[in-house]
Amino acid sequence: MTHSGVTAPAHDETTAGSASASGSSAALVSVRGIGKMYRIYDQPQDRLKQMLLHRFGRWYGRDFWALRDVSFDLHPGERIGVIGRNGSGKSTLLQIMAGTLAPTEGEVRLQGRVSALLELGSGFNPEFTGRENVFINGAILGLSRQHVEERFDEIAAFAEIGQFIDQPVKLYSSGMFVRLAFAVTTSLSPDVLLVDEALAVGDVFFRQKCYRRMTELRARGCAVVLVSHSMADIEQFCDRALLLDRGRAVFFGNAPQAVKHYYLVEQNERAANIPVTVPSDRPARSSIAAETTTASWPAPDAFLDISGAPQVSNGWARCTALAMCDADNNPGGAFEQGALARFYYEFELLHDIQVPIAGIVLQSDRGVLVHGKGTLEHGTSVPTEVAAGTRLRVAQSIRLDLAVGEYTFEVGLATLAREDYTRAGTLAYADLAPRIVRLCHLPAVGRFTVVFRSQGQPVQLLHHGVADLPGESVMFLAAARESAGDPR
Amino acid sequence: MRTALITASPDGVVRHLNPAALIRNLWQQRGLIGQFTRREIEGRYRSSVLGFGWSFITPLVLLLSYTFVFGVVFKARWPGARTERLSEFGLVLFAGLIAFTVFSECLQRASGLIVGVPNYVKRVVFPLEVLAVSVLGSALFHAAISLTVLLAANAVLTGRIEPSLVWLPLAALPLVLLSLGLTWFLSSLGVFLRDVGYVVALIVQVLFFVTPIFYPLEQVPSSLQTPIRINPLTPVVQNFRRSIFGGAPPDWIELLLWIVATGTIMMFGYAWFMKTKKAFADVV
Repeated sequence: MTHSGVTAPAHDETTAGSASASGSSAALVSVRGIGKMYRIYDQPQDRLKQMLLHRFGRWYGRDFWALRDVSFDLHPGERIGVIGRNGSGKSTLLQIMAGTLAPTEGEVRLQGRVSALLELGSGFNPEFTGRENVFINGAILGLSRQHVEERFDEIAAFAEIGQFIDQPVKLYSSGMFVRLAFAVTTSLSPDVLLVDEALAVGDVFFRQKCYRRMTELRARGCAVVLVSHSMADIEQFCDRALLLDRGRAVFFGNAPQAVKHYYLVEQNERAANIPVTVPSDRPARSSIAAETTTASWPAPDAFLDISGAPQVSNGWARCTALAMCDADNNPGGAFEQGALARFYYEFELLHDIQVPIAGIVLQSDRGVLVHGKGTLEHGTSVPTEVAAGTRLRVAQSIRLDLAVGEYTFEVGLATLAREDYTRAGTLAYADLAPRIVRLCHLPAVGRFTVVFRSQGQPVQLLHHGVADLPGESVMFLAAARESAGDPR
Repeated sequence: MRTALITASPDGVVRHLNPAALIRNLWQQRGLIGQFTRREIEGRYRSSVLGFGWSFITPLVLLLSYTFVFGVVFKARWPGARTERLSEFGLVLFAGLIAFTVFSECLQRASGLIVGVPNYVKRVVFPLEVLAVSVLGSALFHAAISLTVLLAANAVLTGRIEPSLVWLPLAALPLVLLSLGLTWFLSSLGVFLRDVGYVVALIVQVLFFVTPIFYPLEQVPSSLQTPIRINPLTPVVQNFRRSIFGGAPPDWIELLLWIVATGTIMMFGYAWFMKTKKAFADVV
């Protein structure tokens, strides 16, 4: 049963290789069945022999498909992220879209001016000065010299490289290089912007500037394709995301979901190595008494209808129930600032696991990860092995000391080997995180609203910004002419 | 709004064999050609103290040493020369040298031309065919400087500028077409075969002696004249000299045939380049 305020968001998942053809007439970019096969040539001349002699039945080199059967449409103002592990074909896809790499099969139809920032460097000639490179890039994009001259000051200002603009770019630091490249690529009125990893080099201020610039471009109808390893960037910036794995499109759809799928793909090899002990006669050896859980479990009509919500799972578990209630266990999706929200959720195990980890993630309407916490961080007592068929229930409460606004939440289940769980406290985060295997996630499964408190004491709005943080303040009068902060 | 279609289907060589398409393409890229030619010229002496001075010094020193070796040591003279003066021998030799230098400069740059700009191959859709044109442009610019030196020297020595100079551009046309075509062909080949640079250096060296630069064609034993006559640079060098020093006008029919022949070489060089350029990104 669904009640107002909490609904499963509509999802426009399309399976790989069969993107809907609807609306392709309005698409700026239409990618159809693109594939790139590399022949691994032992020597460069074999590439030439292949080109000249293949029609006589002579083949040189070995086949390797870097990308296969990828299709999607890109509409004006749309922002698509491309994610995947190293070597999954992301850069190949962008290079083909940019026209620098010929596809082996399929076609790309492009409308308007395509501007690309591919990996590091873009189309700069290291021997030329920054100024010369700006003009040459303008000419490559088919812009008149006058047009580039009009934009030149804006480009130089954005790049913030001062007098280095008249130095050969080989003398630039990587940061200066990418700043200028980004400034050029985005300033020369593109209709389609392709950005590959480039922003990783810049500092945080530059990255923020870049995202602002891309948002401006979007407002003008420019479509953006962004390749990034930063999943937070993808979730915040992109409307949709394409997940590639070993050259294949594994998922194409809403960005948070794509990111969850990415984590599954990423952990695939690890999951194969995770120890699974076949539990003894008892289905679950648990330190939690089953009765305690049922005691605080809300009535059946409090639960959300999650039958249509996408579950991103590796097949080892599925979510079977989910409820969101206020402090008094009344279901609802609107909370006053600082109110307590109670989440109740249940996972059914489809595979034996050792230590389960369950948790909730809150995201703002802009895709910012506001809060994520689970049984691991809470130090909740958990069973050390769970057999397939068992249903795990979790009750979790979160005080919503948040800014007023709309939020989405996701629930997830993961697992950790018993051995790792017992020493989790001694492991650094970087060592622990890769040992956690994700089992089932429901990205943005529901949403809720945080509203102003009905009556405010001392004032209605208790804090500004995203989150309320614990702290206190004291004010007192200092004696005249005595200042604690005075350096003298 | 311009529309582009990127497909896997290879486009045929025939499409690129259209001279009108070639001219249209280069005309559209004239801005880039201009920019790269200027860079090519400036870039060469960019960080040197003498800068453009080298454009004068290099040919001058070469001229003096060749004049010494052939004119003084071997006592060679041009048949039919107005005077027996050493200076005249040097100038005639220089005229041939200027023409040949255009050719050799282009060819020596060709093999590394594409390999040297990986960013333009892999990162942007760059009209790579522009680079060969700018190399030729730079070579022609330097030839023009040398030619100015030559004409000035000739004017001082003989007191006149020949009216036959007006057909020098026509005499130079086969040289331009040939150099451009071979630069396109070799710059593409150099991407796949790294040996091209060495082979070209050798061939240029041989051609230098198989072209009548230091000697008149007539002095070659008639049995050996055939290989020199089929060398496309031979008529270029001869017509250069006739035009500059007021000789008989060129054999127009022969010149026309050479223009057609070198024009064909250029078209095939261009078509080859355009056909193979799709594969550059795979190997650079």
